[in-house]
Amino acid sequence: MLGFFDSPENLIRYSVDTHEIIEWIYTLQTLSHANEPGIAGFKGGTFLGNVQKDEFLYYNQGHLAMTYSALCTLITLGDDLERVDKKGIVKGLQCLQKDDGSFSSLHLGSENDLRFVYCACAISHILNDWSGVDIDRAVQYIQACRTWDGAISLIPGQESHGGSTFCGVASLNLMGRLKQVLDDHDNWRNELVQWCVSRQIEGMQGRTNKLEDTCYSFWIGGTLKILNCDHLLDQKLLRAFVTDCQSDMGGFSKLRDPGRSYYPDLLHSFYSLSWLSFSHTTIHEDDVINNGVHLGSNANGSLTLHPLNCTLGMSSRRIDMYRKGILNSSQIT
Amino acid sequence: MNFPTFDIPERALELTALCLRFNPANYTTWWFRRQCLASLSTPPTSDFESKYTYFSENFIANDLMLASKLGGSNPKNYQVWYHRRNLLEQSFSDMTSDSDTECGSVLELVNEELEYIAGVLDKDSKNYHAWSHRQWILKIINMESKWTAEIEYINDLLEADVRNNSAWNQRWLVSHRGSKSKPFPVEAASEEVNFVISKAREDPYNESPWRYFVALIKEQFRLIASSPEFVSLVDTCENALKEVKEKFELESKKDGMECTHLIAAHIDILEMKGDEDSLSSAVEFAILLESRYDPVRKKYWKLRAQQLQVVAN
Repeated sequence: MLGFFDSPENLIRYSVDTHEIIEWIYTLQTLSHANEPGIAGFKGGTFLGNVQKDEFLYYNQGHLAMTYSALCTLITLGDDLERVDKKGIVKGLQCLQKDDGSFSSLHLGSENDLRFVYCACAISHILNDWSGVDIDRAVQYIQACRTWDGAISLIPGQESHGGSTFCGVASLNLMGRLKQVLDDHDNWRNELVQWCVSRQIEGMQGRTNKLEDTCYSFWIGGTLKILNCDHLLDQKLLRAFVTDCQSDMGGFSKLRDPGRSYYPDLLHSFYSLSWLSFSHTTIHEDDVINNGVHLGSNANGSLTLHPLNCTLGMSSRRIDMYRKGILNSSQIT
Repeated sequence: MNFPTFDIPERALELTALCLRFNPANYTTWWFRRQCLASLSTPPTSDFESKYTYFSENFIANDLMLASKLGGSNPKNYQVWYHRRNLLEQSFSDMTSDSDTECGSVLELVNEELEYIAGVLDKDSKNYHAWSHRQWILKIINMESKWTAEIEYINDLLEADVRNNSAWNQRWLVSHRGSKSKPFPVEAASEEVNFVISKAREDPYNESPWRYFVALIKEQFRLIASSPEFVSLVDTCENALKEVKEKFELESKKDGMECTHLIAAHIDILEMKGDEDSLSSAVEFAILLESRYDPVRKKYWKLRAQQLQVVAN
């Protein structure tokens, strides 16, 4: 979004070797095994220690959220996914889907909810293979998560929440069922839009009567974007809130911090920039604290933010390049 | 399943407890711990069958304590809550009786677990994990006495904070006995509306009760729209809403239109009524919210007014 990779100077200055990162990610891949369908994917880190290449360890399994993150990151860094066990991953999705349509994250067993439905849908979309997802059941689960106040909860019966609302709407979008589900008989769409816009105080709150938090500008702003209704928010006010949540060392925290009690973190920085990128393609240099990183601002002091594909949660440019098959990790432009 | 066997599961068990103190989010360690517990547990009969893993009573008690210790400073750790659920699901799913006397030690476990969750909610009354776990228990045991007791618990929470949307959500779940296929019968809906209005009166700016209010009416609308019962219900509700607004204006000397969630609820009711006069009132209210009273959402209200106008025509 910031166009960091567009400047070779940045890569040199900050010693970023994209190939190294790509290789590291591949060391976290868990390949499918004849006796154990469902373990293919990516781990999140090296907490299991070093697993030898041909060693089979039952518990050396991929985690759905990490698989999703790995695929997005690899594409963003210019990898062509040739080394990814795509068939294995898709088969794994089948094993992770429950009778009620939800997904768990891990073949060893984990909680199951809408987060992993989203991961499964995003993965299926990226790999262009939906044979791992029973779409009708997944849709049923999302409908079961519809709340009395018109939004979407993480599991059926639970409270409406910005994060789960995004997961539900984005998943429906990926499965091509958005119109069918939202517009079928009782106009759920209107309730959803009203709930989303009602979450704005200045910033966005994640649930009714809770505090604002910058990441919800993405979860809820993104939901509205998918519904083509994000112009209904008070964009100016939200932008003021989000940019105000930067610390003077850069990065975004979840709340404004006059008292210096909140620190910036990667999650809130990512989601704040994400929302800024698809709501405003240019932003004034002064609004974004970047501490000297070359971000390609124009002569008039404005910065172009490359938009995030908000359904997938990754760079629009990169996913397009991947789809067109023109991604080559030695030629990031 | 092909997982490794090991000679000294007790020692492995100790090791997992140590590892989990370092990283209570390591789901592989939790899984391995459960393997150890299961291998050391003997089911009550030789032909015992369950879709859930069997753990001995003492292991359940001990590991719930471990989870509580680890969960204390990590109340939002998914793996700890999942471990609690894994420990309890076999015994809780076995409860088929509604009789308090018949369930014995399992009922004690249920009560302790509900108390534990209440303790977590005491520190953070909106902890999503705690509420999910609580809902799971109520649904799986499905005891009428527990559903009824939960309403009391919710009322206490609403006394403490009438804006607690998690408590309002729990109220919806409990009054529907955890199922979408058990809507309110219309008389019960009427009574529930009285409760909601009484709470809305405490603070007409509060969004939660007004959303709940609309949801109650909408549920009936979807079932029995245009029936005389519905017409009567919606009229009663509209009058109750107007009364809250009038009382607010009298007592505070402020303009009731400021209570934008109250007005939004009124617009929803008018839309459900659907007659020409109601719709044109709805349009008027939406325009007022747009032009003056809810500036943050003015673009939304403009669109809403247009949509209502289309229906009116």
